[in-house]
Amino acid sequence: MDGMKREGAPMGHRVWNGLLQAAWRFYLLLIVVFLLFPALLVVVVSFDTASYMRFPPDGFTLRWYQTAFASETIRLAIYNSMIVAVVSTAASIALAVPAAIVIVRRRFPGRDALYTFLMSPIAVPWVVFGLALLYLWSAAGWNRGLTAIAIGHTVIGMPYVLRTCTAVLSHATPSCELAARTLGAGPWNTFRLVTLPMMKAGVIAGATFCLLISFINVPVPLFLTTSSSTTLQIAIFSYMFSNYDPGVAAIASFQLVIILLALYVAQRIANLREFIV
Amino acid sequence: MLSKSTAPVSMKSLTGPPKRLLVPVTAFLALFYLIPLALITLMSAGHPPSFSLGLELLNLAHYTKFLSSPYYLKVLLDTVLLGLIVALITAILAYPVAYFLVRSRSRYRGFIYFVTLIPMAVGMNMITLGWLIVLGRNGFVNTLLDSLGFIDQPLGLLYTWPAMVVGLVNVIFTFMVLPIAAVLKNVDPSLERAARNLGAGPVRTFLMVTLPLSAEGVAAGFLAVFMQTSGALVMPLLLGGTSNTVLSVSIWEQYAVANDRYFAAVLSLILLAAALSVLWLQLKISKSREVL
Repeated sequence: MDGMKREGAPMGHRVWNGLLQAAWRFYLLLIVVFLLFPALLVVVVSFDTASYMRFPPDGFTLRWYQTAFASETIRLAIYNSMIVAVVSTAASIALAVPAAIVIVRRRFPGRDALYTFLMSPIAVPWVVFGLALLYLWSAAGWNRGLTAIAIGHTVIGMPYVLRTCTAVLSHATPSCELAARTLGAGPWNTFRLVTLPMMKAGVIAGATFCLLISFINVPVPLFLTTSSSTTLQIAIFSYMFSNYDPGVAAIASFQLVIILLALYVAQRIANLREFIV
Repeated sequence: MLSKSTAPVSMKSLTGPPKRLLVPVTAFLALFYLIPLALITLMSAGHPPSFSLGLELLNLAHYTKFLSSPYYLKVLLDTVLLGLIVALITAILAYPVAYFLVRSRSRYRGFIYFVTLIPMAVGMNMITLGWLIVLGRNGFVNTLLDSLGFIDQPLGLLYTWPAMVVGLVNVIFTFMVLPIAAVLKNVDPSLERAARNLGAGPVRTFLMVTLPLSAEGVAAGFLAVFMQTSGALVMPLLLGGTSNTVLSVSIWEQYAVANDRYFAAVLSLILLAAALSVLWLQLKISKSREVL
């Protein structure tokens, strides 16, 4: 482990330290391979000429990408997934940001209980919540579809925004807002010009989680989807069931690119590491 | 030039943001979270999915069906067992990675951090597909063993417990690393140095100082991994096959194949109860409420 603090290690331990360092590096390499290898194989297989998924590949072709993008179902699924992800993320922000401000800046009875309640959707397994939401839709006689999926994703994504926003805001001193108010700014301007900029990093980090969770969720849309409102993950899921050709690997590789881009952008504008590590 | 309207506002209005800002989120969760959970609870007790309450319809027949079925009791046991095994293995594998992320100044630190985020970010479908290719009949492992001359027939690696466990450990790794790292970050490295200076070896320092101080992170990671595992659907379905069913898969089968919505509701509540009892246990053990 290069660069680890080793001050004070006796000279006689040099060999031992060298071995330890080599073991560390080897272990980390193994973990990296373990974590990335399956996803990498999917990308490799997506370029294979064989008619079913296998390893090693026979040759190189872009045919599976062409077939995938030529499919009306896949194009619709990509479009639907993006709509649902953006709408549910926007809704999560709109719901969680005001709540975070009140929870951090005010003291009132039941505050802890309310926070626990607002965070509790995290503890409900997605399969259970998906089915429960479906039963609401049946009881109310509403039509399943993208609205239902977006609402479901808002419920499971909102707590992540709430958590990152409360974390950031509780480290920002209220005296800034107080100063703005005493200098004559109204509540809305104080929020817009003082509180929101202080929370910005929390909002972006929470929104990134929300987007990801919505984009990769299978169990919730599985119960709420219809043939015209299929999402990308549902399309991949049904493909894996019915077919074993590399077409599904091509679709999965495409979504991998989108996800990596989103992560990269989020990391650039808000240092995600501050929130999770 | 201060006019009257920009003069300092009264202290009363400076008490902070109005509490009515909490109304939208609370109402939203009440409608789309509490009511669905209430409906599924009623359905598990035999009530049809409807808003007109018929208390005379309530019965425990579907619960009796669950409790008197050795098959479903085994499914429950397997679900809990799978969660525990995956959480234990992930904890052991992820701890050193979390330690590295927090304590190392290596130039690979950013890269390793990015790598640990990837399984969570790419999701269950992609990782499942990857392990189908690794473990399939014509997959990576079988091809490798065959070309080395170790096997003549492809091994049946898929649809086994090890396949499920290895895939779940992969996809869920992030959920263990992050809470451990979050707690380790607050452990003062000078405590470890003090232990070393007082004559403790690296192993003893780790066992007596570092590990106890970061136990809360391990507990939080354990909980997160257990909940993710017990709620996972795609991976047990595709890597575990039909002979290694867990609750989430049974729920899906009862809904989509057997079309028994009431029994699906019973299984859902049992899964929810399992998840919540682990959460309760964790809250008892540590005060941390940070669950990813």
